[in-house]
Amino acid sequence: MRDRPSRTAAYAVAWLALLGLLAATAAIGRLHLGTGNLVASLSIAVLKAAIVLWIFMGMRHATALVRLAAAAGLFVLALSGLALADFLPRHDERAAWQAPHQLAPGLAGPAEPASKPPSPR
Amino acid sequence: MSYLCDGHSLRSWLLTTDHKRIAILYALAITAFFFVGGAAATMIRLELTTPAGDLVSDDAYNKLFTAHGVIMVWLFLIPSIPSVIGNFVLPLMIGARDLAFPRLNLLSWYLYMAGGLIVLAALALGGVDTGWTFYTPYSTMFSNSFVSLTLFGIFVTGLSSIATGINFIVTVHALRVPGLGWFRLPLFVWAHYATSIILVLATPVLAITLLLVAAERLFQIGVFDPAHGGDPLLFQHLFWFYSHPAVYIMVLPAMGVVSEIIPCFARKRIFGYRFMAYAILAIASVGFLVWGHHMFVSGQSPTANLLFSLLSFLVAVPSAIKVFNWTATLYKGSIRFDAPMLYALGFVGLFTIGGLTGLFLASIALDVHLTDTYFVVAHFHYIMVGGSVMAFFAGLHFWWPKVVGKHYPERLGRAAAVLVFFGFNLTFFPQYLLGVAGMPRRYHAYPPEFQVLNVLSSAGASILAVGYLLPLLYLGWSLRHGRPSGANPWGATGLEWQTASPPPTHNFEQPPEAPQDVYGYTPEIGARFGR
Amino acid sequence: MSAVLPPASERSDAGTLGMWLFLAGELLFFGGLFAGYAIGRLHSPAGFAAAGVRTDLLLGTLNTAVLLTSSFVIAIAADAAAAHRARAAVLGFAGAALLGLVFVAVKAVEYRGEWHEGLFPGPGFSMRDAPQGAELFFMWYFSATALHALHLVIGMLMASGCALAQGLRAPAWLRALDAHAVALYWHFVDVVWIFLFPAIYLVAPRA
Repeated sequence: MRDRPSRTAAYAVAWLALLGLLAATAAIGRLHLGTGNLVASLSIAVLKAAIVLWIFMGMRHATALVRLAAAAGLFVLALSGLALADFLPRHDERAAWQAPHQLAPGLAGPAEPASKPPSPR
Repeated sequence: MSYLCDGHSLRSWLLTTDHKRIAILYALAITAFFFVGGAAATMIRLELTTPAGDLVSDDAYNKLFTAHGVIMVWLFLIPSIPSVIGNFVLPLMIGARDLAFPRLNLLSWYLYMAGGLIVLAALALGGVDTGWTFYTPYSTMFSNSFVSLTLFGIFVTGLSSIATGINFIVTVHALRVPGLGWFRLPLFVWAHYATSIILVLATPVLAITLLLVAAERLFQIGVFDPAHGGDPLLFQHLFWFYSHPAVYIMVLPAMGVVSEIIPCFARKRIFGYRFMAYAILAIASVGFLVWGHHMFVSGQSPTANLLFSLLSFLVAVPSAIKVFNWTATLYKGSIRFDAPMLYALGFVGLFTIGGLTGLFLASIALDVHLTDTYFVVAHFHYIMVGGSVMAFFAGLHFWWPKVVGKHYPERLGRAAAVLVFFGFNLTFFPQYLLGVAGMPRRYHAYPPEFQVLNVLSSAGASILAVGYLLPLLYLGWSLRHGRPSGANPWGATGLEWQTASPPPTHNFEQPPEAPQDVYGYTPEIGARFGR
Repeated sequence: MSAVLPPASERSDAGTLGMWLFLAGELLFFGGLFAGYAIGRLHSPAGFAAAGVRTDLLLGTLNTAVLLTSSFVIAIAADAAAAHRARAAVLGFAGAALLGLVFVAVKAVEYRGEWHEGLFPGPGFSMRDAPQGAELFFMWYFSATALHALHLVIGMLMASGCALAQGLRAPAWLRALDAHAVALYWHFVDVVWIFLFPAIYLVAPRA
């Protein structure tokens, strides 16, 4: 059986650390660091998540199987990063916004003569 | 007392937590959905016998192929082997009394039924015309059909899939009899384990994707709308990130079934057991990396095209290893051509053809010509129907004596298998030729020069229909009039054959002992269990 | 027709593994949402920045603190439930559910403010002069926070169930709730918010 008092103590320490990190991230958010803002806020978020995972969710006591399950989820999520191979090289070519042009329904009669392939009758 | 006799009331079936009864509930449901999807296919093939779009209107045709796709993929193929055969046989194979979460199993079935009924309701109300792939912006902005309702139905069945996946994984970890190590497990268990990983990790991506499409339709939250800075290709990435692994959900269990049947009917240990297990894991993992091959002509970047093409070639390797190993298992075996074996052999041949044509499609240059033609339609039908459906029938016949305690009529079984094989090839091989000739998919009218091949295909479909109806008749007949079967009519290895047919509710009177040799077939055992 | 359940100790390990598997799936669910956000931000950094500064940082930070505290409380509650300390468990689970309610209430206040400022996407969207992507940001914001809130409400229901299950006359189906699994789910909802917070409120420094 695990040591009950020290677990509550661990939770309390974790909670205080999380609140501290929250204050830090909010404070850093006011500074103008360019890309540094994103790096900082993401890193702090990862740290907070790690604390919740490790202490609150009991990852430090968990079986290898549970760790594998969590890792598998993270791994497959990371695989979606392969989509960046599409999004990074592609650039938008901006055009002026046009309202979508809704054609009349085809059942009322052909709107455009060229829209249907010629069919033998 | 067998599980079939343990309670006769409707309540005892609808509130059961017995995995075997739940498997039967699933079996009844997927059979019904199969025939609804088949009815849509019948209409499609009837329309395509003539070049003119004269049987149904273009809108109705769009709704037909959408209904066929949605029903066959989500309401038939994905649950078929795992939720019917897997549910029944998996706990037996590991010596367990039930799955890890029996009540969750029942909930899975109710979720599946709810989702399926919602999809049918959308169909009855007028249907959907977006195609089973729901591409944006048509599905989000322009389709005037029951898209959101259908998406909601699919979402609910997705929850059922996730629950089943969780159940299987925990079952395999927690409930194996002592001594049953990983490398003593039947490959059917490996296959379902890998499938369950995909079910748990890929299906949620479909869930969020469908929700976002519905949000764009209902609340104009246009995350896929370029006018707001969104990207229609984002939909395709999200959709195919699930839908490609989904095809492995459909194929891996089939491979598991075939890996049980071929050793049994060749009276020979499976060749290369460890490589078969590793190949299953490889297919499941690399399968997550190839989704972009559905998007080669969508406007995706050339870099992504290149990467996805390369990865798609890689994913063929473990599948090929499996085909080689099945073939090597047959070599110098004492082969018996019972119905399950006929279907399993059909699987190996047709899956190979389907898989090879996948390589054609993975080559970008060829895909530019073949994409959205009947070549693609033929490719995936060879794998899904020639592969998965045949494997489903193989498993159905193989485990039928175990499930109902009766033999099916063997000659009719073989006849149906041959009919299905012949009908299938006549239906879908011409479609490869049509695709190469340039006939686009999802068109209900086509130039007259394509008619001959289309007529051949429709003729094949009528034969295939007979082949599918026959088992319905003779399996039903066997429930009453079939010859009673013993515990192990095929002389198969595997713990499910160590208990009575049909099994008692708690599966085993005593927890069975783990076998020393998972595929311990020898010709002598075959001689002892003659028919 | 009762289920044949394995012994209790086996069940809790199975329940824990089952919940972790479910959470792995939920990671992919929210992951898809975050992936879309990332692509949107990659393509329209100016629009996202312009929209991001219009969110209420004070309320967002407050809500984050509330949720982190609720995680702390529910962790204690789950341990108490396992050690059969019913009073602590009831207080803990009820407390967590209450904090969840505070979160939802604060969110509602935020939504109301955003409605009045014309930040709901649609014809009434007021940031017409902002760079392209501002409305998309708010589309993501509302979708993501709504889905998160839905998950939180489900968590609150389960936590309340766990609190009630400690009672002497709690029905069997309520007592079957796995307190540890419910706590794990709650922590996961917290982790999702931990990543939503910077994505929503810290897009760009405010003046």
